[in-house]
Amino acid sequence: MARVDFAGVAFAVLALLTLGSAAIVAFARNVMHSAVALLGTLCGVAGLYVLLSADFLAAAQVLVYVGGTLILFLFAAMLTARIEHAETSNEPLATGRKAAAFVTILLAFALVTIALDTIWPLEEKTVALPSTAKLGHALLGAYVLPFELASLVLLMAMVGALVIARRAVKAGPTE
Amino acid sequence: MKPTLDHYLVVSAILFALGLFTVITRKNAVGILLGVELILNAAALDFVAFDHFVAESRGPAGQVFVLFIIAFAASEAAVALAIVLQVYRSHRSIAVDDLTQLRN
Amino acid sequence: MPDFHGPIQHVTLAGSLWLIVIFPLAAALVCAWAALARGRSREKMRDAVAVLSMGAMGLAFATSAYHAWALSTLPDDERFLLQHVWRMVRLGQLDASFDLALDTLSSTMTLVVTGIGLPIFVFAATSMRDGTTPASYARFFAWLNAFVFAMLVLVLADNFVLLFFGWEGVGLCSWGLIGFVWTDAAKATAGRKVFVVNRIGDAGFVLGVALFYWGFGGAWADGDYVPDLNARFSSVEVRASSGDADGDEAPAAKPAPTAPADRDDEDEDRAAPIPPSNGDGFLTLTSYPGAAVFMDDARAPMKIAGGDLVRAPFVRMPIKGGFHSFRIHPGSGLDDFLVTHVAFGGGREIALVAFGPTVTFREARDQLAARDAHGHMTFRDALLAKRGFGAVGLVTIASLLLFIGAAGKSAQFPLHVWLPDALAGPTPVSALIHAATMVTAGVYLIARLGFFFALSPAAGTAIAIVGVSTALFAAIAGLYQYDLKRVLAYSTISQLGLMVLAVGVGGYATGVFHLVTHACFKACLFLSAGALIHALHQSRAEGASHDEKHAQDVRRMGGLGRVLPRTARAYAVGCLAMTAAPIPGLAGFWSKDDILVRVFTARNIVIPGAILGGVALVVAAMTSFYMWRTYYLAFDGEPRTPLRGVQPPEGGIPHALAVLAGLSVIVGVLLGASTKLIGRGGDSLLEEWLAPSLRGAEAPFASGGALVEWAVIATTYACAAGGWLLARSRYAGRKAGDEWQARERRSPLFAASTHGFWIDAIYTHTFVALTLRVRDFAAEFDRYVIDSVVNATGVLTRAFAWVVGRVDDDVVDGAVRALSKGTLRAGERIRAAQTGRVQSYVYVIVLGILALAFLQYWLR
Repeated sequence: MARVDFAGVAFAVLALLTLGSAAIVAFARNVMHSAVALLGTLCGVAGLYVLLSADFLAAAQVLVYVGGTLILFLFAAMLTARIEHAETSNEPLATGRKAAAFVTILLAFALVTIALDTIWPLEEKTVALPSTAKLGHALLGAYVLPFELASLVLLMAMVGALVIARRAVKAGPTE
Repeated sequence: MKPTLDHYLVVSAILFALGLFTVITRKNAVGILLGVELILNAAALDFVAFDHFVAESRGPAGQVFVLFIIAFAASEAAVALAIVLQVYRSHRSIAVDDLTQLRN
Repeated sequence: MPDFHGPIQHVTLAGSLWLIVIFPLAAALVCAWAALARGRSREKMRDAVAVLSMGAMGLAFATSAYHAWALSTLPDDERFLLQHVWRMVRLGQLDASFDLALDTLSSTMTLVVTGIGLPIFVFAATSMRDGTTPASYARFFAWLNAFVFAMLVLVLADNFVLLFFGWEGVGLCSWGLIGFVWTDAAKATAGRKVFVVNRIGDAGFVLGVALFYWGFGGAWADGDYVPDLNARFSSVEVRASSGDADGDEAPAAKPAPTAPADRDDEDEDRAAPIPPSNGDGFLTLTSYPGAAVFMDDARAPMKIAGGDLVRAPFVRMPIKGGFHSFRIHPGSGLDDFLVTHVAFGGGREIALVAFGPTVTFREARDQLAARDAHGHMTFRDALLAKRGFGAVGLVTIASLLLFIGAAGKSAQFPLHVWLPDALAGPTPVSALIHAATMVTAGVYLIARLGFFFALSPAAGTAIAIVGVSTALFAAIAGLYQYDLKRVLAYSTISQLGLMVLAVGVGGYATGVFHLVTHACFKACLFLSAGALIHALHQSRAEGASHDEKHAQDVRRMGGLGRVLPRTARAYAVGCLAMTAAPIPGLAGFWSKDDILVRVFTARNIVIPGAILGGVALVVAAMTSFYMWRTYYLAFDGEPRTPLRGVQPPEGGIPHALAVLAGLSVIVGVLLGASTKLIGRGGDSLLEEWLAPSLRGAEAPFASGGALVEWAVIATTYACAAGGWLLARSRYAGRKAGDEWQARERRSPLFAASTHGFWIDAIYTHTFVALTLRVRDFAAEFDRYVIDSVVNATGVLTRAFAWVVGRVDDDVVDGAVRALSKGTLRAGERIRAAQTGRVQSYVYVIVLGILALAFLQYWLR
């Protein structure tokens, strides 16, 4: 009896989930459907992170991306959903979908070929260690500067988003 | 079959392609941003895959990078969507076809 | 051995001839400057100018006299002073240098010009004070001095070219002097007329010179000119012009025909054979002034003992006996001449003479006098044999053409029309030009070229006929003139006709004699007439209207002898001199008598001399008549206008008149009668004096002896006295009432006389009208044809410019515009890529990435 390659199956399932959801994101007519399908993509990617022994990242992905960014998207989609042709979101551009598909496939082809052809300096990782501690050490060690700066950027983004999304205030003594 | 680096790279490539397709063909601004998310995720997946399979010389560089990607993607989404909201308020439309004031 | 022998004119180099001409030239320049300079309205300048001019003239006279004396100290056949001033023209074989040559004829002429000119200058200095500003006074004297300078150049010229300079110069200055008051249109026209008529003569002159020049060098055969001389120089043994018969000369010594000439110029004695009569010889070279001579293949030119280079012209340079060859190097781009095998010895003089075309008088004369070994005058015969226009001799044609030039200057028919009109000039001008200088230039030319004119009896006859006809015609025209000066003018023409008659029959010295005497008494007459008119002007200046014509009109004169005694006396002396009656023995008596003798005894003419002589006698009678008519009408009888206020002339005028009158008395005697009295030869003094200059011009005359002479004298005197008596009977004393005018008018010749035979009218209606028609045609042609060509060119240019402009606008600018439009359109098309949509930008980015990937990955 063949031993079931758990990793392979898991990979296949997760890959399928990811790519399938991505396809829905790409081809769905309704932007709400796209937004929801993104959830699948994000989760699939999280799963793949686990397979790649990036457990903290998987958790962060789910927490931040799904829990934050996706919700944000859903809000935005809903808030801007009262447009007539919001659902028809695959209008052709100047050169049309076919050209876009062609270019995209070409790009995918290029990437795949490059990836497969390149001889990566592989090293077998034997044990899937919990990565949290390693990450923590890295963040406060070698990468402390980006870490701090990232907090700054997040602050800026927050303030910026607030400022941008504010309703236009009429100049006046009232309020 | 044990997934090797190549597999992950292929997956991320296809994910990237799909995200690109979304960016190119979507008319809805939010939809375009969804595509951007896909692209970001594909890149992040690449990073993690490399971190796992390729010899690391500087610690968990890939994973750190992905952490930052996640953070910045979130902030970028916030700002972008704030802009979209504002555009929607002023133009009553977020179809990029209509937002061509940069033309010519 | 010398190829020829004959007389050669020896020249003596003199360095001082230029002094004769320089004084008037300097004075002219100073006066011209004074006329233009800043203080020219100051009266003091007048005195300066007058003194300067008179002084210059005096100096010129003194220098001429000195040189004449210098000539007289030279032996007879060497009286020729030459000064080479400037190498002027050397073209091919033509060598015309600025050479001043003084031989006896030129010396006579310079004495006449300066000697008569001096009293005239004195007269002019006083008479020109009225009516001129100081500046124009200076201008007058500038012209006057320039005139004298030109005349002196004319008589001192050694060749045709320089003579022509003087010739033209006197023409120009006569224009300036006669048209001096150029604000008066009539006077200015008179000046122009002089110049134009002279020009016509000059055309003939130039043609004559050209024929002369060519004639010496070739001949025409079948319409082609064939030069007939290759060698330029030949050797001529110099001998006095002894016998002239052919073939009777002792042959030149034939040297032993051995041993070529010495090769080097060392004066060693050699054993080479030398001519039998040993000793040295002499070399003479008078052509190409400034030329150097190389003897016998020497490298260096010949030097005289002191070390100076030998330069032509030189006379009698000692040469060692034997055969020599010479190379003459004229320099200035001309080829050298080679003369070989010249034998020297026996004290003989060998001259290297240039044969062929020449414009120098003495060279021509030497050529024509050369005889070859057999005694034939080869060149003269060759020249006489040349024919043009079929059978007419070249010499005849050339002589006639040159005579046309002389006729222009000496106012012969039909070119005499300028002389009466030339009275428009001031009186001193008339005196100088009519009496002494310009009109004598023609006679001088013929005398100078006597050796040439004597070769052609036909031409001589034609000249004589023209001369005597002119004399007769002018005498008739002068019979009944009312204008005093016009009478004198016609009398001048008449006397010139007599001079021309004299040189036409071959009496060249006679013509010059009459020239000299005529200068004296005509100047005297003109100046007395001028003094008379001047006095009348002065008297009228206070009172009535001042009309020149009236002052000169004899009808308004009369009895002036009472108030102007000295003037009357001078005038009378002049008349006596001119007409030789009633008192013979004054100047004109001798010269006119001489002319008539020559005419009657001439043998060098084609028609009998008696015809010409008869006409000349008639002329003498008429001359006497009209001259005394003017005298009696002016100075005698009752005054026809009041004599109140007529003052005798002052200042230098009486002195000038006295001098001229005195000259008129003595000069004829002096020059004409002396040698007969001192028992030499029987020729007059002047003739002996002029003989060296007129060598070669000996024309044959029948010798009738003293009988013929006295017969002619008696006849002439009879005619002249008859004329005087007639005049006295009609005009003298109280008989000059008013009916004389009526009687004159009844005379058959009256109309022709007073109108000058209507020659002027004929000319006006023919030549002048023709010329004016040509002028009109030319003006029309210029306006319509030439101007329209010019305008058409303008139109074409504008059209072309328009085309160019359009091309520039459309093609060139169009290209520029197309370029800009193209750029804009391309820009518009490319701008379409700026869709403003981010997605398209993304597209492009992707494509770029793909491209990079392609390049990077697959093309490596």
